[in-house]
Amino acid sequence: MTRLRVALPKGRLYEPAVARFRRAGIELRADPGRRLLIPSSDPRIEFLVVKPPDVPVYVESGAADLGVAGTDVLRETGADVLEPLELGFGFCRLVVATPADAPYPTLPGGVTPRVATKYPRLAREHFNAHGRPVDIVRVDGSVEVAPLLNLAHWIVDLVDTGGTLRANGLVERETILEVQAVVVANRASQKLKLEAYLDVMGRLETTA
Amino acid sequence: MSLSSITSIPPGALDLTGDAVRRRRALQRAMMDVLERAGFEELSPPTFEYEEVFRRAGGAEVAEKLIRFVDRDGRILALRYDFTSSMARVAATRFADGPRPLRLCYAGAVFRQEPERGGRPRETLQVGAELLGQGDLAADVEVVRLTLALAKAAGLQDFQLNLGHAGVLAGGLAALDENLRADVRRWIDRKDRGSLARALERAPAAARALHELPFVIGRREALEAAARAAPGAARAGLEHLLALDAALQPEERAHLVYDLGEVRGLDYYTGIHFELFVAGAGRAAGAGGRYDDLMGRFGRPMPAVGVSLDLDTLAEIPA
Repeated sequence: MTRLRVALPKGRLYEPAVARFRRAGIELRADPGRRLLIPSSDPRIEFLVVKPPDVPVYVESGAADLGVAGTDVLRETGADVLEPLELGFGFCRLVVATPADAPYPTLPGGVTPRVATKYPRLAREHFNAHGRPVDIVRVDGSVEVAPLLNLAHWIVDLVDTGGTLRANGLVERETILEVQAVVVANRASQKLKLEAYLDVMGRLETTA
Repeated sequence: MSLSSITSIPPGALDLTGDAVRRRRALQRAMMDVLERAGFEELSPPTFEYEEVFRRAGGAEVAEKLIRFVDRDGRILALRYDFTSSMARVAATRFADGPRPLRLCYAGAVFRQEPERGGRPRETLQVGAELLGQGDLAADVEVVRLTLALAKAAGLQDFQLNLGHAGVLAGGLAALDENLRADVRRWIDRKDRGSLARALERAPAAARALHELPFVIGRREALEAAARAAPGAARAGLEHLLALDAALQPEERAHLVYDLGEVRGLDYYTGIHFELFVAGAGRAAGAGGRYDDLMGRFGRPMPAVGVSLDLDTLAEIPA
């Protein structure tokens, strides 16, 4: 029996991803807790739950056959995976934001802007594409406080409703990427486990 | 000099010892025996060449991945990106007036710049072959058969060759303007049916076949069904694949999957193209196909078809 292993991301995409697989008739059998591999109601499909940036790593290497990931993570890592299906949840935007009173898009006195972000590659590409030199400061969390603490002038971060930005006195300046959750698949699995792959994809597509 | 500069090695480089070395040697020997018995002459090109040789053969995609350095006279050298470029150079010069077809084979390392993130190897062991100067179906069949024999010699049982033809999608893609074509190729490459369908809403009728053809994957019956529905531009490629299928033995066919959705290398391949997939490996363990434009870039136009297998991937497959 061909078995498919599906990598799900912890965090904001986890619950909607589980719900989407449930609608497709594939229900997780246990609470993730400390288990590494979680069986499902379909004996051919098992799940593992990892940190969001690790989903493309597992899927690209083939340690997982399928996964659910945000396009923010996929574009940042440049993972070489299939992206067969947009899932229609996890919508948000990757934006440039600055303190409401900060000059933009240049700083006075020829100062090179420092930009704090979890997305150094996408941020660099964006400013490069506009010919605007910046220093990128890579941070792993609490990006929105970086300007308050003088770590950076601006930030590049994900925005959903904008509440966090407003609470920190920041305003959106430019959108870099429209983000949503997608199914990702390992390129070799799609070929070697074709029937199982087509079966799962078909069920996900028809139960959107 | 600090100690760390002699205790560490660059990312993407690897020290191999013990069984890892023995396994690669054994695989290489078994595969080179197959090639020699099939009449392929081993050629050992230099480990570095003028970068122009690789760029001329492979174009912009290759230029991004060359590992370059500067020669004493200021010319740019590159570590061997692939063997095919060097084989083409030799065939166009030293063997320019020799008998055809030429059957050449090789074994050794290739060097490719990889993105920093992954720690992917930048040096990979390859074994491969080129059949130069023969453009007919028999040459395609010979190389497909040879690939299967090499996989068997490597001890593989659970493997498949995903085979397509560059001509199948070429007509539809040519009907698109440049920007849309790049998008469409990206959606096909990601197997994203939804985005592809939306992009093709703006496309001319001649591109309509791109809705379905890229998702055709299966045995002979899948090809036959596609050939019945396909527009004329795609049909020649499909007929060629059907003829190839007919020329194979049942035990060979068991390893073949026709797969019309592969758009990588579409600027390079001119006829059949294929990838070898092995259970337990997350990426292709080999690739090949026909590149009839290649030799012309070296001033001696002639048909060419070849295959290269990735010995490191094969050696790491769990037994």
